[in-house]
Amino acid sequence: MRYPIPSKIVEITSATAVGHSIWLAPKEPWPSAPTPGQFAMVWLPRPPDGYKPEVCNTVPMSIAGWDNGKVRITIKNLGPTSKALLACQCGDWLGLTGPLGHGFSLDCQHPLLMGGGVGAPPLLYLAQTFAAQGIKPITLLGGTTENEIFHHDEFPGTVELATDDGSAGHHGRVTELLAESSPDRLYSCGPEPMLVNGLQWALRHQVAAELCLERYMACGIGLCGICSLDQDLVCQDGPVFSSERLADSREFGTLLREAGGRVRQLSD
Amino acid sequence: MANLRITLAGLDLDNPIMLASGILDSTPGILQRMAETGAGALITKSISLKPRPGYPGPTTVEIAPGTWINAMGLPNPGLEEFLNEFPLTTLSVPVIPNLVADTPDEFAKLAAGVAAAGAKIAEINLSCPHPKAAYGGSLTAQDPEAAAAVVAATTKHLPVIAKLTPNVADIGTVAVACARAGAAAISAINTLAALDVDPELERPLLGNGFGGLSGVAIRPIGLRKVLEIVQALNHANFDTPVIGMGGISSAEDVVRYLLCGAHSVQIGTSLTGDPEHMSAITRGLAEWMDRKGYRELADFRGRILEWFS
Ligand SMILES: Cc1cc2nc3c(=O)[nH]c(=O)nc-3n(C[C@H](O)[C@H](O)[C@H](O)COP(=O)(O)OP(=O)(O)OC[C@H]3O[C@@H](n4cnc5c(N)ncnc54)[C@H](O)[C@@H]3O)c2cc1C
Ligand SMILES: Cc1cc2nc3c(=O)[nH]c(=O)nc-3n(C[C@H](O)[C@H](O)[C@H](O)COP(=O)(O)O)c2cc1C
Ligand code: FES
Repeated sequence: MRYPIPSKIVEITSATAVGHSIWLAPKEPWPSAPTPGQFAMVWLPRPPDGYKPEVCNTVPMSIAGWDNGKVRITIKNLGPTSKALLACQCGDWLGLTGPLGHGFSLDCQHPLLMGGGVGAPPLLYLAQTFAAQGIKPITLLGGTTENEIFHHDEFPGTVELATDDGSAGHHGRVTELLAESSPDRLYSCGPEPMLVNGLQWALRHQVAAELCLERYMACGIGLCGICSLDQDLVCQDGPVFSSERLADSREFGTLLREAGGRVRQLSD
Repeated sequence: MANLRITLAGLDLDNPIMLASGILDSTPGILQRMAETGAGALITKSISLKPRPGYPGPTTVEIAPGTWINAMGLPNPGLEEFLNEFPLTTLSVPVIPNLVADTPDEFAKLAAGVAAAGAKIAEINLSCPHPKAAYGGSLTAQDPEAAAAVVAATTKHLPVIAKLTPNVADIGTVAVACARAGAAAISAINTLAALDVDPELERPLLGNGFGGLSGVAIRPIGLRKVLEIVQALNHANFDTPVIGMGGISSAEDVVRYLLCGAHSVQIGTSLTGDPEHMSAITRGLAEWMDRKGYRELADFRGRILEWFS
């Protein structure tokens, strides 16, 4: 049943300058481990001290980890609800509807992961899942500055960083690190302009790619249709899409929707 | 082979099964997909004059298998952006805009707008707050006169389907008032006024607090309301078609509504997570009719009425 299961915050970890990670213990545990790339609708049911009730809302968040029924979510301060979620303490209750959507496929010997912003959390869970199968992924992570990049010291395998200010790793965009690589498959999650570059690289080099999209959602469960990308629902048919699928898309990289379904053109 | 074709206010539909307003219909892309499922017609999300962002979440929760409570807050991009973007005349099946407003004047503006853009018929969502409500909870379709005023104001621009709320003592009176005011069809039911609470979190389940109930649990209520509407219209000598809905999740459920006298039906909640389920229901209706030896919908429509005469 698609119900926001009350879930207690049991641990807060991995702080950066722009957010942190929480571990949640759902009152009724999910029946099995989620697939990396799947997400949950995270509900803030009560405002933390000092916050107004208007911050209460549900927001889609990727699953960043799983440990015996506990669910990990990594939150970046992007607006009112995410900010209030970051003010919650251990022992506070949230609601968790999930796992939702279709995640990444795991049949790959030499995976290359590329993430930016809140794209890093689902890739961490993907990298850990690969590592548990004995596969060592290579991960490229990008951000404005070093202390805004989530989880960079937690990934199994090799990690390369790119920062806009040169504070760590390559001074420039994370997509510039792609040049050297020849993976079986590229897995990527992050801002759509980065995904567009990743897709172009993958098509040019004939590398299969799976890209995880983060788009506005209202229900998250395939009911309202507001998250549609062309004729697909991002919350249900995605959020992970193959490069073949996205290469044909009219809307990927160009047209976004906001609350009410209003259209916004994506400009670089 | 069973013939599923119907006409609705002069519009030819391939079959009597339509997509209900508010489910899988809030963008042109998803409407295109629903057109390909073989639905007879597609009703759009309720469109208002101004854009509405919708309510905070949770907006939709499954409280028992197949039964949902929702308060989306009528999210929509507003009439102007809707008309710019939505395919009112270019899809392979008719697209019927659903309109929502607070006053007859606003409803008339919406009707004029969609008619000018090529819509052949519109559905008017009368389950909206009553403009002269003494308190917040009253709906236009709870007052026969207020509902009739909206029908009269909109039907000048194009034929309208009046969509009624089940939250009334006597739905037949409201239906007859709408028919008398010139409604081309009556549709019912909208969601039932509802509230649910999470005992662990000690708060309402929906971001908006109150919401509407839909899905399998409301089917028997929908059937009874449709029967009451059909009886009241017959009694007042109107042959206005009635579009039944509420909790339809199979071809057998479609048959149930048609047996109660519905001219056609709409399906919403049960398509959640499975848009292509629409095709299975349409196919299933033809199979049921073939098995029963019915060639036309009229061969069995309204057969239940004799039990209540
Ligand atoms: C599948 C998916 C996975 C996501 N995973 C994570 C995650 O692991 N960690 C995390 O911190 N965030 C994640 N997000 C983004 C998260 O949903 C937004 O940060 C959140 O909705 C912002 O809400 P707000 O009220 O704080 O800010 P708002 O005021 O609502 O928005 C602030 C900013 O975030 C953007 N935004 C709003 N909603 C979304 C959305 N659904 N997707 C992308 N951007 C949005 C807005 O355009 C705006 O620029 C994910 C989104 C999706 C769709
Ligand atoms: C999530 C959701 C959103 C809805 N939005 C609208 C709407 O915008 N306008 C409207 O007239 N009815 C709306 N409805 C009511 C449905 O069209 C339908 O009348 C009701 O849900 C009963 O049918 P069902 O049980 O098949 O869903 C909505 C229903 C749901 C579940
Ligand atoms: S967010 Fe409602 S269908 Fe995807």
